[in-house]
Amino acid sequence: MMMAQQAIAVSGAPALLARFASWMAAEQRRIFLICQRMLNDADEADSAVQDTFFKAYQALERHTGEIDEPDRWLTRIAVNTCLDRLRSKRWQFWRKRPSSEDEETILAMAASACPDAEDQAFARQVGQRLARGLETLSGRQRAVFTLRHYEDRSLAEIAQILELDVGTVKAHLSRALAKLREELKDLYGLRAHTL
Amino acid sequence: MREETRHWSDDELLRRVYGLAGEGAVSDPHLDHCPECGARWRQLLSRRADAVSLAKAGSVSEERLQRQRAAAWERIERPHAFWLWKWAPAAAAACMLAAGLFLLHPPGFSPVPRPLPASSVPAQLSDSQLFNDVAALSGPEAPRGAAPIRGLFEERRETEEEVVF
Repeated sequence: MMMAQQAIAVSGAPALLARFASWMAAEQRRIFLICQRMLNDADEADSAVQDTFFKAYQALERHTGEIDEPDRWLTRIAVNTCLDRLRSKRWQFWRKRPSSEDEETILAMAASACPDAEDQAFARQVGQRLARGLETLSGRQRAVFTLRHYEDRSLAEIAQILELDVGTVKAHLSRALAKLREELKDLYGLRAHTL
Repeated sequence: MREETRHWSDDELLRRVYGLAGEGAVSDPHLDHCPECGARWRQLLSRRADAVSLAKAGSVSEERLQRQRAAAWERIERPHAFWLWKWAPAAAAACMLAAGLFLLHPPGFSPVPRPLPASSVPAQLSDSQLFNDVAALSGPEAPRGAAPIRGLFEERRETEEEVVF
């Protein structure tokens, strides 16, 4: 993530603004997808993305020197922002169903590469169930599963991002898998081969 | 059932694909010896790769991303205005509290009686002065029954005057 490292190393407000703009453009889609998966609400994810980049910019203004692994650092800010929002009772009270656009996104993410229409319809169903299943997870479990399943990050990386030890990450992931096992078996086509 | 002939369960496969079954999970010798488990494992890895690539691609409209960027920049470039807005509810509550206090206790009203100025309070009243004051309050004419008592005070005042002079 060369662009990110350059952005972090820059000092001085005008230069920082210029570098930050390109860094935000490069990272924005990834951060939005993390927020959307964790919050299961595109409007909330929009706000979370704004919060994330605003916090990142403020931190960079105060920071002197370089930040190692800026993409992980930004991911940590995004995940913590989402966890804060999940903890907020106000947000839970006003929580809405995903909009049609968001459902399309979720379905597209879960859609399999099979050209067969029936398989695609089944994959959409699985995607919907997986998105609903994510809501049954705790905030930490959701964060760990999102980073492992969608971002394909290693357990060690997740531990660094969430500032947990690897054993705790494994425990969260294990519980998440236990809760989502039916959806995941369908997603990976394991049911057809049950022994 | 011996280890070589036991097939991996679905849960075991899931745990392995997510990295929960130890470091050697991907290159387990069982996969070489058991064609059925090997086939299921390869299929699982293939579907997992598809899921990851689709997840990373994630369909997000460019219009949404532009709106996000605009909103984020607005906050970055005007952080002070944002913080003012953040404090607005607290400031409004404080104003309402102050207004409520003002209405309950207007400036002219004081629940604690004000102390009288020192000049308006006589330092010491003699008994006769006190009697005269009380008599003046009760009416211009003292009742008859008060005459002997009044006489006593009159005598006493004369005595006091004698002592003074």
